[in-house]
Order: sequence, then C-alpha cells, then structure tokens
Amino acid sequence: MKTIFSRSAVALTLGATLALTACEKQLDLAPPQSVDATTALNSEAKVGSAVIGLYAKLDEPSLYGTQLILVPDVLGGDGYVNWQGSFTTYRELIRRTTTSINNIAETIWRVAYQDINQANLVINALEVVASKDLKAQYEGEARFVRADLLFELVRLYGKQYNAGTASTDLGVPISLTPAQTLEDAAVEQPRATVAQVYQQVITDLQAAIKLLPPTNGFRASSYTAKALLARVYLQQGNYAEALTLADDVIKNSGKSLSPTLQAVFTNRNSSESLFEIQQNDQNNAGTSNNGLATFYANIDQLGRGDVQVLGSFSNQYGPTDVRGTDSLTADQTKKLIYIGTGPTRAPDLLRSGKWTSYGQNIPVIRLAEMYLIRAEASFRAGDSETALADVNRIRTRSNATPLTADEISLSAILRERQLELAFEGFRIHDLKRTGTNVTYTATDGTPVTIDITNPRFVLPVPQREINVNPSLIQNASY
Amino acid sequence: MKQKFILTLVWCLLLASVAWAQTRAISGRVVGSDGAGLPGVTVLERGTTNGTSSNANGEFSLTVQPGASLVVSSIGFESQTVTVGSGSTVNVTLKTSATQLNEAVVVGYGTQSKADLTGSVTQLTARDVENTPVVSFEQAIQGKTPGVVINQTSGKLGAGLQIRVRGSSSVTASNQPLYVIDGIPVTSQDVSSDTEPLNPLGDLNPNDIESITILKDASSSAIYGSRASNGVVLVTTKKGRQGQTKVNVGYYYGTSSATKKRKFLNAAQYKELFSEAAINAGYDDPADAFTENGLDYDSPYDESWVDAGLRRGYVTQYDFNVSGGDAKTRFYLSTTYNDQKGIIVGNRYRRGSARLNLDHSISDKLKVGLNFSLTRSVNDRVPEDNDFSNPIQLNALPPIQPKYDPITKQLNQATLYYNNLLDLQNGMNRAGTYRSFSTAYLTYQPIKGLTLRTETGADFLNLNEELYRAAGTQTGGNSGYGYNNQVQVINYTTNNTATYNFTLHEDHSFDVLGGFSFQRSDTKQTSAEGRGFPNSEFTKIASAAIKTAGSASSQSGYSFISYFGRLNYAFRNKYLVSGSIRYDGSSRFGKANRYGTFGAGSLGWLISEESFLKDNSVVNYLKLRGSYGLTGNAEIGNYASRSLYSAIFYADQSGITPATSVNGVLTYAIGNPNLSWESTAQTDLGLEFGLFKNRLSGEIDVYQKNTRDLLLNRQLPYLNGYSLVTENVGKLRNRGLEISLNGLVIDKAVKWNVGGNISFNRNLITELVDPIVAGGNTLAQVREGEPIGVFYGRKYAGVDPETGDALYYTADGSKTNNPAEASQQKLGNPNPKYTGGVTTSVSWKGFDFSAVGQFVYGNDIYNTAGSYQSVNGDYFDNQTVDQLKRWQNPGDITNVPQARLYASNGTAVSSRWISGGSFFRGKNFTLGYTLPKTLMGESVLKTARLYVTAQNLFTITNYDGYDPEVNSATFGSANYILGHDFYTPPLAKTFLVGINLGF
Repeated sequence: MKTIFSRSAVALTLGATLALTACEKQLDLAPPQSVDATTALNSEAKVGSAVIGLYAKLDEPSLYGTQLILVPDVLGGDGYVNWQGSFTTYRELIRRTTTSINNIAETIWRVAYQDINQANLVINALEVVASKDLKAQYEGEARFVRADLLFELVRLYGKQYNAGTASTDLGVPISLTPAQTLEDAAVEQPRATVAQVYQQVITDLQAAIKLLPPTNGFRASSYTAKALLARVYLQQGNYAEALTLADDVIKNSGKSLSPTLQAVFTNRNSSESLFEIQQNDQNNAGTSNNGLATFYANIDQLGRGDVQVLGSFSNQYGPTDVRGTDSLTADQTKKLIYIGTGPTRAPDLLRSGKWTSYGQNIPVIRLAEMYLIRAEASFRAGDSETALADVNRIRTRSNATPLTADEISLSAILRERQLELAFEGFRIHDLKRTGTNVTYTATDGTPVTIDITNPRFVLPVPQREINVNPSLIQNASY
Repeated sequence: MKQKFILTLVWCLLLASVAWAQTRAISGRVVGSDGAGLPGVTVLERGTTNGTSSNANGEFSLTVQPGASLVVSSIGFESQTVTVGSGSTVNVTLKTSATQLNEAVVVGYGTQSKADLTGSVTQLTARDVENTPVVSFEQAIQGKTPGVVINQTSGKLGAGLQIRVRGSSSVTASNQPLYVIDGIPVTSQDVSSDTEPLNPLGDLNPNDIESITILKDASSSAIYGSRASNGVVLVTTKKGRQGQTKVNVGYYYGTSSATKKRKFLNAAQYKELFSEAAINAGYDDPADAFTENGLDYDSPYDESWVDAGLRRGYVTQYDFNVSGGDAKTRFYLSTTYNDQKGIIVGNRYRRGSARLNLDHSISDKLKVGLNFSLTRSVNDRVPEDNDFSNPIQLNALPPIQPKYDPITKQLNQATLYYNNLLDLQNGMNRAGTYRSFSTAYLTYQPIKGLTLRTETGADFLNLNEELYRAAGTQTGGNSGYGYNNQVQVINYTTNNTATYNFTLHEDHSFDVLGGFSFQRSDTKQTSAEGRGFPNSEFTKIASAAIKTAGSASSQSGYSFISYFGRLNYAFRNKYLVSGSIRYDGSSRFGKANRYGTFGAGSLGWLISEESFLKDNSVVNYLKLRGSYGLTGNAEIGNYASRSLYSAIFYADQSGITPATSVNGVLTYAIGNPNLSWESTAQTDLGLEFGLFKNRLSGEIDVYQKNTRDLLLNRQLPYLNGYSLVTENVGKLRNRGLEISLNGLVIDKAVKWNVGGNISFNRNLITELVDPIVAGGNTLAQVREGEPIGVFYGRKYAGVDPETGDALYYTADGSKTNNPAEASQQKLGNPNPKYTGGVTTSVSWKGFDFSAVGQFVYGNDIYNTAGSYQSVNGDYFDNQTVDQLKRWQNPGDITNVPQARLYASNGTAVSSRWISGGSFFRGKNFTLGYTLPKTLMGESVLKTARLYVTAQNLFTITNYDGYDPEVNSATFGSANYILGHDFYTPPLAKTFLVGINLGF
C-alpha cells in the first residue's frame, strides 16, 4: 500500500513539475490588440500616435463629433430649433427640465477629461521625443487640446464669465497632472473658479501659439491657437485682445473665405478652415444614435431629422441669402436650409443643410468667425467702418444684401453671427456673453421671454461625478 | 462517464476478489417494476468496493463474503439493500425513484452515492429535460431546482438566461455558474456582438442529457477552485449500456403564443387623450399638434400595433437515438432536429445535432472512450430591446397610423417611429453556430481500487452573425447596411486524475483523488461591415461600396493551471468526512497574485445508521451534514489587471489612447497589478431525511456565503481621465434556506407523487466604497446595506388633486412638483423574497401525468419604458390604457397626472413605474399514455408513448406588463440591473403533442 502511495505521489509530482514548467508561461497571456501602458509612450513615434489620439478623441460624439456643436444650439433653442427626436436627454435640455443624471451632461464631462488627461500624458512623455521641432509641436498640440476642452467645459458647466464674479463663480476642476497609476486616477479635486479656468486656458493657448508651427496640415497650427484664443477673449468680453488676435489670423494665416458657405461643409478642409475635425465614411461620430448628420439631416433614410429649423429663425434671412431657404428639398434646393424628406417625419419641415453626410468633416473654427469677431470688437471700439466691411464680406459671399453704413449696429453684427454660424454650436454661448434673453412665441401666440441667466442654461455637474468626488458643488437649480 | 468509471472499477475488483478465500458465488437478476430486466445496474457488496453491474437482461453474478448484503442501485431508481442469506440466487425488483435519496450523484471528477455525500447538490435526470419546447436545458428545469433561480429574461429564442446559484455572489464579475459537460468546462458566456447575449448552451441537445448536477455548497464545488463561487453545473450525456440495442424515435409538434400582451389605447382613446394633452399644452386646435408630428387627426384607422409585433409560433422536433453495446464496446448515438418559430415576428430557431458517445474496454484494466457531438443552430434573432427595430417597440406607434399604406398597399413608412416590419421584409439578422463538445479519455487500473484517468476535451464554437438591412430600412438608410461577424472559440482542457478507493479493517472506507488540469481558451473574431449596396438583392459585404468601422479582427484568451485533491472518508458508513483542495493559477490575475488556494471540509452523520434509529418504523433515512469552504470567482475579463493603450481612429489615421478596447468600445480603466480572484467563504448545514420507507423524503439546507475581495469596478472621478478600476474591494453576503419535500402519496395501482421546493435567499452588500449607479433611465444601484440592484431614486407621490401635477417626495417627506427637488431613496428590490416550484405526477396503468408549477415572490419590476408609454400623453407614443385615468378636473383623485403634451409632467425616472413582479406559473403539464405491451405482440415496436404537453399554460401575477419573468439585457449585462422591463418580449405559451416509439 505504502509503495503504491509513494509511487503515485512520485509520478504525480513528476508530472506536475513537468506540466508546471511547460505551462507557467501559458499564464502570461498578453492582450493581442492593446499594449501595456508602461511601454506605450516610450518612443517618438508612439508619442506621435498619442497626439493623433488627442484629435481622434475630439471627434467622439460627446465632443465635437456631436455634443459640443449640437448642445449649444439645443440649449435655449426656443424660437430657433425644435427637438423632435425621441431622446429625452435632448428634450430635457431644450425644455430646461434637465436633471443631474442627464446622460449628455455626463458624457461631455467624461470624454473631455479623458482627452485632457491624454494631453497631460503626452506632455509628460515629451522627453523621449528627440526632434526639437516635433517636441514643440506635440506640446503645442496637447496644450491646445487641453485649453480648448477646458474652455468648452467652463462655458457649459459654469456661469458666463463676468469680471466681477469670475473669481468666485465655480468653473470646472483643472486637471494638469497625468494620471498613470491608480493613485493618480483616484485624486479628488474641487471645482476651480471661472477666472482660474479662463486663466489656465489663456496660459495654455499663449504657450501653444509659441510652440506650434504656423502651418500644421489639418491639425492645430499657431493660427488655430490664436483663433481659439480670440474666441476665448470674446467670450470673456476682452474685445481688445480678441480684435488683435482675429486681425492677426485674418491677415497672416493665409486663409481666405471659401467662395460659398456650402462648400465649407460639403468639401473637406476648405480655404477658410482654421480647425476642422477630420472624418470619413468609416471613422465618424456615428450614423444611428450619434453624429451631427444623424440628428440634423432628414433626406429620405439619411438622418433622423430630430432637429427642426423653425420658420421664426429662417425668416431672418433675406430672400436672396443662400444661407436661408427656398422651401425645396435637399436634392433641389440651392440654399442651406431645405425641406426634409424622411418618411417618419411630417413633410414641409425645415432642416439645416450644413450637416448632411455622416462622414463629412466638422469645421470647428473657420475664418468667417474671425471676421465676425473683428467686426464686433471693432464696432465696440468705435470702428464701424471695419465692422461694416467685415460683415458685408460675410454677407456678400452668401448673396445677402449688403448692410449700409446706417444699418450697421451691434445687434446687426450679433444677428449676422447667428445667421452665419447657425447650427455650429455658437448660439447659447453668444446669448450668454451678450446677455440676450431667449424669446419666442408660444403655441397659443403669446410671446415668451426666458431670462438668459436661467440656471437651466448651465449644464448640471454629473451626479455620478459628485457621487465619487463629493467636493464638487452642484450648479444652482439641480 | 463517471458511472462507467465506477463500473469499470467494480469489474476490476470482482476479478481481483476471485482469488480471495472463503467467498462464494451468487447470481441474480434485477428487474424494474414492469418485470423487464434492467441493464447496467450497480450491484455492490455492502461496505466494500466489491461489485458488478447487470447485463442487458438485468442478470449479474458476484462472489461475496458469507453473510454479505448487496446494495443494488441505478440512476433513476431507488437503491435497495438485500441480504444474501444462504441461497445462491438473489432477485431484486427496483422501484422507480420517486425520492432520489440514494441515487448515484455526479460530483466533480467522480461520482458518489447521495447517502455518502456531505455536500449540497441538486441532481436532475433526463426525464426533467426531455421533449420540452425550449432551446436550452436550463429553461426546462425551472421550478425544480432549490437554491437555483433561473430567469429566462425575455421571450426571445436562444436568449441568454440569468442563473443564480444561492444568490448573486458578485457585483461586476459574472454571476453565472461554471458549466462542465462530461468533465470539460465549456464556453458558457455569450460571444456574440449584440448587446443582448445569446446562450451558448443552446447548442447542447437537451435530449442527450443523462443528468444535470448543480453543486451548491463549498464542499461540493471547491474542487473547481477559483471558478466555483457561482456554483457549478455538471452535465453528463447519455451512455450506451451493455445489452440489446435500443432504438428510440420521437416527434412532437406544437403551437405557441405570447403569455400575455400589454394593453394600449385604441384610436378613439388615443385621439381623446392626445387632444386633451395638446389643449392643456396651449394648442387652440389639437389637430395642429398632431400635424406637427405627421399624424392625421382625422385618420379613419384603428391599428393594433401590439399585435403586429407578435404572432402564433410553432415548435417541432424529430429525435432519433440508438444505444447498446456488449461487454467490450458500448455506444449511444443520437440525432435531433428542432425547429421553433418564435412568437415575436422574425424570430426562429433551428438546431440539428448529432452525438456519438463510445466506450471501449481494451482490456479489463484499460478503457478508452470518446464523446463527440456536432451541432448546427441557426437563430433568426430579434434586435435588442432598445432598438427601434425591436418588434415589441411597435406598440409605441399611434393606432391612428395604419400598418399598410392605403394607396401603395405596402408597409406604411410614414409612421411616428420606424415601422420595423420593414426590416423583416428587407433584411435578415441571423446567428448561425457550429458547435462541438468532445471528450476523449483513457483509464487504467493498475491495481485494485486505483484508477488513473486522463481526459482531453475540446469545446469548439464557431458563430457567424449576419445582419442585413436593405436600403429603405432605418438601419439601411439610403443605400443598405450589412454586417458579418465570425467568432471562433477554441476551449480545450486536459484533466489527469488518480483515484484510489480502499477499505481498512472493514470500518474505514477511503476515496482519494488527486489531479492536475490545464485549460486554455482562445477567441478569435473577424467582422466586416459595409454600406452602399447596389440594391436589396445584394446582401453580402462584397457588394458594399464602403467598408465601415465595424470591420475588424480581434483576439482574446485566458488560461488556467490547476492542481487539486480530495479525500472522502467514511467510518462504518455512518460518520463521513470529506476535504478538498485546489490550487489555481490564471492568466487573468495580476502578476502579484497569480495563484490561489481554495478548499473545503465537510462532515456528515448518517443518523439512521445508528442502532437507536436502525429499523425504526418511521424514520428510515436521516443524515446531518455540514460544510465550510473557500471558493473563488475568476470571471473578470481577461486583461483587467493591466493598464492598456488601444487604437483610436481619426479619419484615415490611427492614434492611441489609454483605454481598453472591446469590439471598438473604449473603456478608460486603469490597471491594477494586485488584482486577484474574488473569495467566497460558504458555510452550509443540511439535513436529509426519508420517512415511511422513503414515502416522504426531503432535504433542508441553510447556508451563508460571505464574499470578500469583490472584483468591483470602482468608479473613479472622471476628471483624471479614467472611469473605473477593477479592484478587490467590497463585501457581500448571501444567506438562505432551501427546503425540498417529496411525497409518494399513493403507491398502489395508482401512483401519486407530490413534491415541492422553496428557497429563500437574502442578498446584502456589506461593504462598498461608493454606491454604483447604473444611471440612464434605470433605477438600479448597488449600495452598502442594501441588496444588489436595489431600486433607488425619486419616489413618486401621485398627483396633486388641485393642479394635476405629478408629485415627488422630498427629503423631509413633503411633496414637490419639481423632480429636481425630490430626494433619492430606496424604492424597491428586484430580488425575490422566495422562489420555488411544485411538482406532481400521477401514473395509472399506461397513463402518466405530471405538472410543474414555478413561483417567484416578492420582487419588484421597473418598467423602464414607462416614461414613454405610461406617461399621460407627454409625447405621441401610444399609451397604456391605464393612462386614461388621468387627472382632468380639480379635485380628481388619481395616480395619473394631467395630460400635457411635451410638458414633462411626471416623466422623470421615478418609482411611478415600479410594480410587484411576483408570479405563479403553470410551467409544464404533460399527459402521456403508453400503449400496453400486449398490443405490441411480436412486432418490432416495443414501446409507444403518446403525450400532450402545455408549457407556460397560465401565469398568475399582478404585473401589468407583458410577462413578469423579465430582465432586459439591453442596458448592458451588468449584474446589478435587475428586474428592468424595456419593450421586452414575453415568453411563449406552448401546446404540443408528441410520440415516442421504442424498437
């Protein structure tokens, strides 16, 4: 009996030992389509891939792929657009019944910080980039993306910048440390003030302007950073700085207005494009539940036709203005607002012709905006001549009647911004910075005014984020 | 296979024992209650391992010690102990087991008699799963499994099931048990690309199953170590037995319909409610509101869209099997074809399968065998619940819009939401599977009692998903859409064991097991996706102009290396001791924690063997047992311990981002090198009894499972760029009570058997860093001090009688009409208070009748679709009929707020749509008639049985939705989103007639 035991034991041990050595490495299975973080950024080429990743993130539906363009037009959309879709998250935004668990508010926040962290990781990994030019470019691009997203976040989740209260108004947390370990990733942080966030945005953009080359393919150049900074200063009410930068971009960037506005959207990287999200039919923000064409377009089966352009807005275009409508369908119209033809939507509803293809590029900053910034800032500085010329440059391009010297006014310039930049994510930000209330006519014919300081024009800090980071203070009314 | 294992063992012992002195030869015959010889019955000399098994005619011979007793047993029959006495012939009649007290039970890497078992297991036999109109066997055993809750989740054919053995042991890792078929762990997790899972176990033909054993406590399951915490389901397929060749032919046909349909407004009611809603929203002419949404206020139509998504289905099955063999070679061969046309339009499941199980004795000491099966299944799937293409979502369409366009007579495309019947006309959504479960083994018995066994098994799964939507459908857009996904999972295992049985000084019986196991699973996936087809006749992606982002290939895998051992010891067959241990290593665990040790110990006391109870007229069997042990759960995803970078695309460039990528979905999870398995310590105390010669028998178990090191996805602040980390934090507890009883009420010409079981499980999260909020439109949360998946959120306070506003409770208990001011509180519990089933069977002459009832009590269901379909006309979705009770005038007392179009009056996610989910279901009723033998005469036909079955005949419930057995998987397969209904299809009610012929 004993011998049997011992023999079996020996046999088993022997077998087990053999098996162990043979199999031990079988336990070390590396993931086939990912790489380990410890070696992911250890060469120049790899850091370069991470920089492309920064832009790819910007195309996610939660950022410029959809939300950063769509949400500012849906928030305060009364009198402008109607949300017809079934997604209650958007309906809450337009009706100001948003709750702190609104998924859109959560995902913009989440994805923006993912990209901000990626920018931090790129900056942290720069020492392996041997080429001096490339190193500066990568840092500039990372700081540009970080600044851009912090700016978008503070505009959406904080109150409008107000010099008097910006140092006490709550903005968003500023994340500048790359998270590489669990400890880094678990750090809790309170909201910085609106002033602090703007300061960080300006610091990053000023650095980026110095670091970035004047041309950089379809990626951010020093002029992209200047253009964004002009937008930031305008939002802040710092018109002098906005004017200087817009003027610099117009004169020196080498960009020129595209012959038609339509071409800016149907072609890729037009001559007036200062920053444009690159998409194609394969890689885009979405074709069924996300994507700008998904929500705006309504051309037979293309698009859901969830955003309807209201007549009260399209009526503001003059009869010759190609940015307006001729009440024809997409395949017949010569204008930028067309009649939808999707089978599940009522006929005769207006749709924006800016977003009509799932794979189209998404212009984020274009030269026309710089002209309008220069116009507004010049006018505010008393230079109505420049203002008139700039506005008319935009108007004549689209065959709208030029304004006369008598007609130029601040409200005319602001209206021109709305007409030119409609459905490109400018509306609520412009209303907020100019203190313009939302007005519309109710279904029963009575005029309604919603004060622009209504707290529901500010997105809620995601409840989920407050749950895990209790130092965050929720916005008013949520 | 395990039975063979023991049979061979006893053959071997028999030969060896011939040489012993003072023995004598006896012979005999074992017959069933019908007098026919029973082959393959185990005949064992009591207290020894000396034994044999009966031949084809039920005859056996054995050499035994003087004064010996024989234990005669076979699966499905009551064991008998007979004293040999002075004669040399022993004839035994075995009774069909009504109580299953002494059957042989399949356990991990072996078999044991139920009497000797110190663990808690539930075993079911072929009769429980045969000829039931289901896709996979788990659906057939509902109501028969104390301690195991089986939820079908949806009426979609082949949909993944939710199975919980003694409660949910994990919050984020899998809660599904480990499935082992013929000794080989198989792929039981969904590998399809859809959000909603397919059930890979549908590839096993239920008619091939000989037994299903569910290992519930640590004592029985710890031998499976790091994968045992959720219980282990051992499936053994049928074997050939020595004897005359048996041929069985079976056929059934039946029709099915929905168990229930929810009731929605008709055209007149719809117009009434929405006109009122429009007027209340400020419209002068309600027709304007209709027109804005493309609705015709004066429409003459009254369409019942609920009926458009459901239909009458059918089930049919052809079954053929042959079994038999001789002393050298035994075989079981089967083929089956099963065809089910689902009750949901477009849903159909077909399965053809073949199996060959072969055992051959090379010599008395050496045996080989092969189990081989091949299955082809084709599932025409229904889109996930949260998809406009889901036919159940048709119920949202206004009744004033017709199904067919009155002019073109084609399907109406101008509907409020997509008329998804177009998908069926112009598309397909098919999952085709090839599956093979195979095992080959070799056993060798060098000396008496010692068996060396090596087995290698492969589970080969090939899934081919094909989705096509032509131009003009919603997904197809203007040019058509196609997707094809090919998944191949190769999962192979080798088990090498040594078992040694011996008895020392007659009183001490030992059963020792030692072994080594290695498993490796590799999944490879290739998909193609395209848009731009010439026309609807071109359906393959070769014809697509644009290959889109779903085109990809990927790979994933895991491995386990395990060493294990078990010792069973019995003293005088009264005092039982058992211990098991397993040392597991896995590629899934962090480098710092790659190996873990698991084990369990248990004690049993067969009180009825004590002198004071022996030959007691009332109590004939009484056993007390207890166990304690540690098991693990390793189902955490294959690479969760690592921080990873994956590719991300920017037009025609590719970049990287610090995230893991699964099917193109990026998850920003940071790695954790200390990640390890989840540990569950389980204590079980059980009592088994048989009274009045086993006329009344039963089993009671109490248990407590404490799970620690929960593999939790701890949520991280988004602001640092990561969403979560998988950590071993958190604790939970399940405790419960299981009672099962079985009584043979009448045992005469009429036999009447009644059984029942009831299980109570209480789940409690005992330690959790942060609450987990599922979010979206769900109410599911995980919170410390609450059971998993607790419903948590705003509490609906009804309607303000003065204004018609929806009200919610605030923190101080007052009511507000502003949902933002409502406080977050506990609203309900999706976990049932108790579950169980009742069974009864009656047989008289050739007639047999059986009935199974299933009940679930005390759980809550949240109708997530309520905010669209039961929301007092907030938007133009058709509403459930209860919305007609809306508030209209000051003073109205009702729960339904005033109808106000677009006004979000009562739309907030809240307890408004929670209702009780208790139900009692008449699960299965079968009436059969076996033709008398005399009728057969000398024909080749030996047996013939005709039967009728009603499945899900009735459901008693207060749930006002489609079906209370619901658990939509559309919000992701998170373990804690429980009891959510979202346009989820009901189960089918099926009536069938069948025939089985034996030759």
